[in-house]
Amino acid sequence: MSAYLVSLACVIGINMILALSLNIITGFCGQISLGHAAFYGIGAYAAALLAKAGAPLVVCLLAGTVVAGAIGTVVGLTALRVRHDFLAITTMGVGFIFLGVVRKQSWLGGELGIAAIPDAGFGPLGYAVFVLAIAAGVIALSLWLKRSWMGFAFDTVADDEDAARTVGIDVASYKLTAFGIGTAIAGLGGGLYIYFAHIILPDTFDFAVSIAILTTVVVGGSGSVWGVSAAAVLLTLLPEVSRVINDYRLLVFGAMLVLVMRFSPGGLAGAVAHVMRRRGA
Amino acid sequence: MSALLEVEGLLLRFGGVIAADHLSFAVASGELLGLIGPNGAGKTTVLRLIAGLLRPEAGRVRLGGVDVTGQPTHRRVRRGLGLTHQLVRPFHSLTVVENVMIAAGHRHTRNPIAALARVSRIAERRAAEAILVRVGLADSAARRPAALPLGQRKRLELARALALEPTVLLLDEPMAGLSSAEAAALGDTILALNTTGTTIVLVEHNLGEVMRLARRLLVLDTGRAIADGPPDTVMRDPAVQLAYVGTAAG
Repeated sequence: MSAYLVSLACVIGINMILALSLNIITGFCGQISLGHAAFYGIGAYAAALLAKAGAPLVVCLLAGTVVAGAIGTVVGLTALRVRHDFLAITTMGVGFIFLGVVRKQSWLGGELGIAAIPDAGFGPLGYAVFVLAIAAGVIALSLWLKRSWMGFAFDTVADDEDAARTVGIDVASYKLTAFGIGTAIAGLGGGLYIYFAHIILPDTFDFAVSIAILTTVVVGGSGSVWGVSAAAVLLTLLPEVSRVINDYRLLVFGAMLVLVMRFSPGGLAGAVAHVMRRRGA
Repeated sequence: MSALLEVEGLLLRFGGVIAADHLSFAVASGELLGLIGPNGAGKTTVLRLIAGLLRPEAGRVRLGGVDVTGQPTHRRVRRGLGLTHQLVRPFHSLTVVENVMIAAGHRHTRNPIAALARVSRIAERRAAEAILVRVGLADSAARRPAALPLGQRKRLELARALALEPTVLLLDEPMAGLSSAEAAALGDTILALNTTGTTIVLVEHNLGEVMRLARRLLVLDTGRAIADGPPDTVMRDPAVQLAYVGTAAG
């Protein structure tokens, strides 16, 4: 397999992990987040600092996961006070705060980021398989979560918070759990990224990345594990097949968001379900 | 009979409007209390205060002798409180039977982490289907709530509250918008529930049905209790007639 295809497999795996992590917060629990790249970045920076200090891969990945999840849970506390568009603006602010902080901190490398991150030691192909195996694990976790009573309770929180309270659901705990799990998995994605790129820059985790992750969730079908996974593959490959799409990535993703919301609010998953229903009818 | 639900000195104002004016009353175990009053009397506000959906400026709410005033709604529900909304609020992404299942599985949703460990919904589906039979919605189990007529959505609201196995059920205008036949059928269901031991507080504008169902009426006007007692006695009270029609019948 060529080096290009191996690196593409890695990027697909990482993007899938990021999209599925946001899908838990937005798709399952109905909480919008426009700052998800910050948690991707927090995981990457935490893992990179430890990797540079000589910590083994497992420790670095765990640290990225735990630090991002812990900060994500704290940010989730804001979701208890604000909803809908106010939550969107708040989470967007979190993304900018993250960028503002890392750009000015010399111990985080400032604008130059952190370079010369050690290798995972699996070889490029071995690492791609490792990333894809973790992505498969995140798919399995998402499917389990959706089928579990936690997923069932998330459905009610996403639908109507007050009505959820009247069936005994502790809405605050469920929202915090969604933020905790979703941001922890984004942090894991960040940890995986550092062993792929060997360098991290603040711009890798900017607002456009948050929008790209959200676009993947919306295009796939918010809440659908398979739809979001498929969208992660498609939207990673799309800029690779066309230079124009790559150059105008933000414009293309923005247009996709508008078109999906206008013509197929259920995304790919919704469109497939619609076709299946018509065939069945 | 001991008091299962007690409210004491509840006070809540919306700007210059007093929705609950130092209101106190108690509901005994097994009772079916009709809470009536003209529009704007504060009936729904009182139910929302009891459920914890509104916080009082002063006063206390006790459930089974325990002060729940500072507790959020979900904790009160887990202490045995069931509530139906005046404007029906089904979960639209779920089917009718799933709406009831999520309530029937309330023991599994107490803690998110424990909820993650459990997948099986078989027992809760069975329980939910039995409740749907009880409220006459068995044929609509697989449908989406949006596809149901209002009368059936009202029944779904009741089924969902029943699945919580409440000791006290607060019903906020369950008959509003129903035909007289539908209202009577729902009334029979409510009466059957009460007969099997569920304590009920019924807010309802359909006075005919309230008089048929309740053995005690509490009348509110501008947030105050103006009469409390057996339905026939209460409806003859000049203060009640004044509040309803603006003049006391001779």
